[in-house]
Amino acid sequence: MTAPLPVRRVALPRLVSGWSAALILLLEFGFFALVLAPRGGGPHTFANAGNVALILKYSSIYGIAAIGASMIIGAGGIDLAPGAVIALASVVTGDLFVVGGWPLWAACLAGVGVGLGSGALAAVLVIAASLPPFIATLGVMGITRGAAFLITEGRFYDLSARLAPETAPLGIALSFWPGVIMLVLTIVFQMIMRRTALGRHILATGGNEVAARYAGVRVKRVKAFVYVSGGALAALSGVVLAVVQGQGKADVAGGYELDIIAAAVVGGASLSGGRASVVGAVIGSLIFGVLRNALAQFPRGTFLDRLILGVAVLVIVVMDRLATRERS
Amino acid sequence: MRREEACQRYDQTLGQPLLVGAGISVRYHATAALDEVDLDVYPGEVHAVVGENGAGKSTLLRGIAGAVRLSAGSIRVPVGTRIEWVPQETELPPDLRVSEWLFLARELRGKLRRLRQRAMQEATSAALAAVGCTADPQASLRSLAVTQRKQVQLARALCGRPDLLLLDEPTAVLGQAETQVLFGAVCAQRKRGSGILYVSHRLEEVRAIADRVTVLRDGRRVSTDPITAVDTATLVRRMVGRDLAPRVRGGAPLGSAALELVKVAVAHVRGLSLTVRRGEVVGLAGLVGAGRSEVLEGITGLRPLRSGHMKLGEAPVLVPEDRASKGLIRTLNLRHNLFLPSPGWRLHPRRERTEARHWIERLRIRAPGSEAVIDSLSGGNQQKLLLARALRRQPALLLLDEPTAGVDVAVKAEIHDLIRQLAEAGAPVVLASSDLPELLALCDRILVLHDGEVAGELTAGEASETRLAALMTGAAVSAVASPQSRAESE
Repeated sequence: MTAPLPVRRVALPRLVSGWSAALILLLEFGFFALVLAPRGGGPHTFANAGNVALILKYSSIYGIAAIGASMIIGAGGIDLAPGAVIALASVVTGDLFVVGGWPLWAACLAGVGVGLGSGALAAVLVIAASLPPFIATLGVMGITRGAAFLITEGRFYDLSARLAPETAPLGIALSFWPGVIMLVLTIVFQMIMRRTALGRHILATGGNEVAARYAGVRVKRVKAFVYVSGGALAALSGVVLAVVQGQGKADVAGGYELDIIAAAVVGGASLSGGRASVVGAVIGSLIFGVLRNALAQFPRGTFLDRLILGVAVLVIVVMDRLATRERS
Repeated sequence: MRREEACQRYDQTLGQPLLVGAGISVRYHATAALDEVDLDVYPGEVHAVVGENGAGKSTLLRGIAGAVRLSAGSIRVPVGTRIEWVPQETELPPDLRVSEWLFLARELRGKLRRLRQRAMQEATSAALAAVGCTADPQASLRSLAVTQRKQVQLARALCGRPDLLLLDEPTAVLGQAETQVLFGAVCAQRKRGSGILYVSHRLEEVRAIADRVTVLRDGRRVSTDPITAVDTATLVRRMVGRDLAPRVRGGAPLGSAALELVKVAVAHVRGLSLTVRRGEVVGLAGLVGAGRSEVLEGITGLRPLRSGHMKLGEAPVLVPEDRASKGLIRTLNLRHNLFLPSPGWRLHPRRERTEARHWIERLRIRAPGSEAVIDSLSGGNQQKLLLARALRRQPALLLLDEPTAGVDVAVKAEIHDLIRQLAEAGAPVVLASSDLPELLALCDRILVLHDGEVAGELTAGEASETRLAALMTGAAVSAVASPQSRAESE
């Protein structure tokens, strides 16, 4: 006789997830707009269109990868590889574009292909070899970072030299592309998560993998999807970084995997699985993007940003935990 | 088994009670598992608690042991009373050795708090001997058989030198010889003045060992009597409290075969042959670990068949036992759980909501709505939700594993009605249950598993609790003539 444990849910709304993360972002932006307001008139150094575009551009490197991270975390996994995958993708794109002389679009596609490969490797390790995701992706992280160093041998590819300054595919200036890509992918993957059976099966797998399997969910497919698409999204971040910052380097994006996980968690993903928000993850990376951008305008701010980011992650997640605490 | 054979009764001197429970109530959401139960235990007595599955016996012990919070009532125990509780089923840490487990968190220590390994090993050997366990004190818990695990649990409880010993169905996985040794150990405890609360549904055992007996039914206390003042027939009547009508077939002929198993081996089960026809309810009986769930999982394809043939029409749908770990997904709401796996690739939330309301109504699921959080449902309603999920897929074969475990009586009756309706509508059902009255009430045929083998097959006409129990425990049918079977024939 197994009687259910008496678990009662505290009737408090979630503070952080999807739209409440958006509220934090707005408050944050408003705060910095006030604090950094120029005294005695003059142009605003923070709240202006150019700076907002800049924030979008740099946040998208985290944001695109965070879409994948939120799906992987939602499915009950974790991915430590994105930072290394970003580096390898930037290197491959740079090598093919600068050295190989490939057209830009083909080099970019090849860069994304890197992520499909690394994601597939992670998926095989998790599904077929049933390694814990932490270990599997730790291995993938080492392999991809190592491959990047092997290709570059210490060099770095200067894409900006070969990129014509007026390059504007489809009539959109190059510096706007990251934001546009992030926006489109956010919509696409938000739809997948909320409007398709696949999205529900991802969250079901993360919520209780055994129960999902017993209910008839094909959990292996679900996992394959999240790791492969997560890898591809991380690689796309790398391609964006290479093209927008104009360089492919093996040692870029060091430690990004944790920033990306943090963005997903701040956006409402639960590390125990079963809960995740694509929109939330993107907003999470925007929250950090605004923080980084604004802190750079304070004296000693750039030295403070890691510390403040760390504190911000803890504060936001603890608030979230308090809001959804379950009493037994 | 007569009491006199088991042990000589100790002349109890009624002193201060070891335990006084008044108005003990435990509620799980809307379900009252225990409702205002009064109970006392005196030193030097074995107080038996009997009742059907779901009567609240285990919950009572949990409440006394402090494993569940009382929603009302009080339990008073003299200061300094050592209480030991042996739950019916426990997970043991698989990598600990027997001697380490027996003294876990109460290690014997010497100077500088050094562990006294030798002393603990000797004490372990003595404790194991007292319960008749042959396991090596150095063996890992992983390597023990089910019977030995239970004995190790009993030994650990005895090592704690309890004043009050709580035993929950201690003999469920023990053979007759082991049971006799256990009775000896229990009598020794009684002799040294401990009080023993002994939960069982085996009345012959209770007769053999108890001084007093309390009957629980549907979470309420029906009676408490000295064992000599009440006969077994009366106890049975009080336990059941209602007539369970045996299943009467509606005259409709059985349809074609929906499932054929020929000499199938799955997990540790072997040589299983079984045919289930449309409109038929086939029961799977067996003790814990006999392989009931494994058979169902093999039919569903969740476990590979090691050998044999299976002929199956459309994909069967399984309602797994253990709602919490294999059934529902707590992070999803009621509707999301109902539509899992989701049909098609696109979700249709509006259509789902309409259909969810239909199922809530049809199975009378008590829920705030289609978007209800799983934790807000009582165990019975969670079970109904799982049934709804299975029925939504209109299965060609329905496999039910303990469909009424931990469910209150009213819901149990509803689920039983539902199963009958399904069978009458022609849906074949395989029902695995440890609840014998349930099997008897619902099944056309009952297949009994014992230790991975088919111990026998009984038709509804032949089956009785006694015959099932005999097959389940591997005892010969004719050797058992318990007072219970006499009670049934009256």
